[in-house]
Amino acid sequence: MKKMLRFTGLVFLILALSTMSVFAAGEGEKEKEAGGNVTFMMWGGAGEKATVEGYLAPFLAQNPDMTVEIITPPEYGDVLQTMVAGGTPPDIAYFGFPEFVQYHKEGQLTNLQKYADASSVFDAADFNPGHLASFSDTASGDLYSIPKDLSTYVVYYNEDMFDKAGLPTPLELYNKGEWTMDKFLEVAKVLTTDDAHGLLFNYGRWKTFIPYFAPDWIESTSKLNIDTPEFIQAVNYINDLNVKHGVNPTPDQLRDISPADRFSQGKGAMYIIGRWMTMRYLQADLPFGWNVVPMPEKNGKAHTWVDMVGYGIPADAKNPDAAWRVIEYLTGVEGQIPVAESGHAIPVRLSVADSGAFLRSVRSGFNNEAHIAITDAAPVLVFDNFVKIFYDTMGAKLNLVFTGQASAEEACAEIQETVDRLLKE
Amino acid sequence: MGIRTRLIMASPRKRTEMMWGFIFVGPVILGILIFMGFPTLYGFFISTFKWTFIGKNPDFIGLGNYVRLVNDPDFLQAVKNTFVYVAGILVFSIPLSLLLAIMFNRKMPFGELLKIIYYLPVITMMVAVSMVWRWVLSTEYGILNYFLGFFGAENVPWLNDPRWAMPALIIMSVWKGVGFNMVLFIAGLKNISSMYYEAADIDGASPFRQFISITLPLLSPTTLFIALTTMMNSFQIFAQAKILFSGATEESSGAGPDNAANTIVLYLYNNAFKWGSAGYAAAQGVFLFIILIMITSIQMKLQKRWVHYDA
Repeated sequence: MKKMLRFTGLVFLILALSTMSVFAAGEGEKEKEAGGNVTFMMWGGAGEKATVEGYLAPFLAQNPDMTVEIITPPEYGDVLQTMVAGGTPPDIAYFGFPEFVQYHKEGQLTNLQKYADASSVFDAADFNPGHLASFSDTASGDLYSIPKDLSTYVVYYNEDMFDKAGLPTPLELYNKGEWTMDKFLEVAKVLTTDDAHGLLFNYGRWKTFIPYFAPDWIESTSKLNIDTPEFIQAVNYINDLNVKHGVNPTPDQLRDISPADRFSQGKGAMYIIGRWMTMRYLQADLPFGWNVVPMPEKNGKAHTWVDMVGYGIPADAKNPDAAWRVIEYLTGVEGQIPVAESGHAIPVRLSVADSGAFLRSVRSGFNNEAHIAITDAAPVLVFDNFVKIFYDTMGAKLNLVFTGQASAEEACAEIQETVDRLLKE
Repeated sequence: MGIRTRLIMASPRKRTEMMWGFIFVGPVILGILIFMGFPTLYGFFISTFKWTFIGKNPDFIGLGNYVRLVNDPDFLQAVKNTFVYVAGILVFSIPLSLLLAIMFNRKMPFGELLKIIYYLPVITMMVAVSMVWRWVLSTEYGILNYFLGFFGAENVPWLNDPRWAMPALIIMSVWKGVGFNMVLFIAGLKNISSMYYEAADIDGASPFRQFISITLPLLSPTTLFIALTTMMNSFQIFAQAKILFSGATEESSGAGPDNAANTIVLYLYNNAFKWGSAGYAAAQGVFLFIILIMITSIQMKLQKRWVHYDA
């Protein structure tokens, strides 16, 4: 029995030591793989995986010494964290902007500056400086991730519905400089009928409307202004779209049939969403004319939300040098052209975004410019405890307003109180 | 007498048998040690660190995470919600499954078919069930509100109102789990010898009296088992809440309106994987572990008073 106990003790000891080494992992010398296999983790389904494989095909043909293994796990964020914590991360991974800040803060990303400096393909001048700055260390200015693509929220609209109602299209209004929030609401009201809504807006994407009313709600990484008249006005505006004006469905109606499906079924005249929906609608071959226009303007300037994603090389990646070659290609002009041509995403290389390749993508007459008109805006400043505050505290409390459980004033006051506490945590 | 002594004393045949016994049990024991014993101990260890899960340098903070636990209103609400949920499940699921078991224990038309129907939710994936229930519980289009409408009820905002979120969760979980407990109760009922009922009949005991004085006491070991397993499973509620209440807001944590469906494990998961507080999450795991050990030992102590092992 004693021997058994001793044996069990030994097993525990070995396990404990091996797991404790997780903490120490990455501090020692990294083992470099001689071969050219790069593990590349991304989100999305089989379709997106095939798209990326298509982007990589010319690169792999030019570099027979390399192979790229693409992994698309379910629950991407959880899996990536677990792999990083376990010291076995992929060589390349997608990092949403808030996640980038988190991983960089923890020292889990490779400094890419030395690669960028030595590269003949990478050209900082061909990127929006704000985008590169977002993915750089705030103190040293060194790059830790290269922007992959970006998405701005725009208004998709059903041309046929506007034509039938005898209304000028949002693009026509935009070109005349008349695409204001008042006009936006006015056409939404006219187009709301028994069968269709004038607008489809997912309440969970409340962030899209906030910059218009309260552009300075994020004062610093440790100060948010939520119980302000401007922020409350924004929340009331979103809520009134249903409660007062009836132009947007209720949250329950949207849960039942998603806004994306409602739009494709012709049950909504306008729909606010990002670039990724363009590809979905293109593939679905919608049975009506549709186009996109920037969000309504104020003083000649559109306010929207910018989602950015970057490529990063985790600090413990086995093959960082080869990983850089893949990133360098994908974010280079050659690699960005197929991205632009497919219309899949907004290219990060300025020369490609402004080129015919992107502007002519999707189909003739499609207003691709709507997506790049306002990309000068850098993504929102990432404040402390971002995910918990942004998605869980704010999202959940605001949802109470949109479902009639609380007033905007009450919710914003409560959010402010909670957020002030969480920012100190 | 130690294993070694017993092995020496046993006959060679016995010894071979014992050896094979250990070989067969070994992998399972090893599995339990590696995948359950070690993580449990390791959980205790990391609960003393401030660690972001992806961080390389955890800070040792001693009992800091435990101090934070008792001062965290969200955690305290999660604890309260979890207890309400467990109580709800115990109060509704056990009597309901006993009722069904008694019903199906007698011969009845389509009995076998109905048993299968009641058991089907048990073998259906929780994620799939939760997705379907999101629709069942929809305020305007949900089938539940549709039926309630026949009785003149107003539409109940099951998934949007903090007051209804927990009842919604309990209703769905009872529906999902009642078939499993029903099967256990049926097995328990089959084990009760008919001689007790025959004797009671001769003495003129009413069916209700027989149920109270024979069925319930002799079913008590099964009831104890069901109560314990149901309770432990209920304390670990996670997937139902996560799926049922996600989608309401972008990247929602699944905690329901105003955190009304936030439970200990869900909060633990969100802390560890979403909010970068792995050490704090581990402290919550330890808290849950202690609660479960405490409640189980209280139940085991109390069972002497009401559990009868003589069927």
